[in-house]
Amino acid sequence: MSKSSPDPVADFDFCKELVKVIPHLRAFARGLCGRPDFADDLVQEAMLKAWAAQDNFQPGTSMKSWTFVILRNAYLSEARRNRFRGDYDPDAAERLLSRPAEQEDGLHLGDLKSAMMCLSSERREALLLVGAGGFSYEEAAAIAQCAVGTMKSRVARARRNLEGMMGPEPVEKFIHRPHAVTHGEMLDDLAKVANR
Amino acid sequence: MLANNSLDNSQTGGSYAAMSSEPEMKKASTKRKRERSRPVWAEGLKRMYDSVVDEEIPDDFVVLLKKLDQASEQK
Repeated sequence: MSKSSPDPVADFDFCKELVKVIPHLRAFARGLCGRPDFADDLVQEAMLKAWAAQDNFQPGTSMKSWTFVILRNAYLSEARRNRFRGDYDPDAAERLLSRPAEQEDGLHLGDLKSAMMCLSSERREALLLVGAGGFSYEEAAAIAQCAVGTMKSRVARARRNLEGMMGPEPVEKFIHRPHAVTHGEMLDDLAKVANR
Repeated sequence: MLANNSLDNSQTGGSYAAMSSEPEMKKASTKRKRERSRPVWAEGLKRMYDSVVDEEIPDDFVVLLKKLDQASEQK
């Protein structure tokens, strides 16, 4: 395919690996910034950066993790420029709390999206990585460049925040649930969902 | 480790039969508790994420990949 390239096999593999992670990059980006159009812009930016830095990628390590770090950095620098400011909705949590449960399963994906956007970006990211992306706490901590314990507490706090907003009896939950939700319990719940 | 286990078993052997129903009871009550606090949002979050993963990759991504591939050929 690329006659003049010094290492066509490596190039081809990199491209193939990159293609494989695109769907995950898109899902992570959309969860982070909440907007499909911005999310896809971010992913393309991350792909360009990954391509330019491909010599830094160590074959045998996780392309998914590596590109997630690049995507995350792209997101953070955009967020610093306040590009996503319009997405944050301080009233959404209140609306969620005042709304009675309407559906049998008690879940509106729109509400969940709003609730996710009410979380701090650190907690949102933690939940996306561990809860949805299928990363271990260790992998998620490496991507978010924090300690494993920090990642665990972010996930636990994000979980409590969401339960407060999404639960059928949010107030009761806040009062009666034990303050510290065990990480094991969290992992069990997530594993149950992930292995479905 | 193995030695320790067998030692424990022999020491608690007498009460083992009486205790054997306890794990099951525990399991059942944990299950009930889980069902009560079933994290609907966790399932929804996974569904939300997976729905994006399952989407077809938009054309502009394919165009970008082709450009990148061409760029590497010119290197």
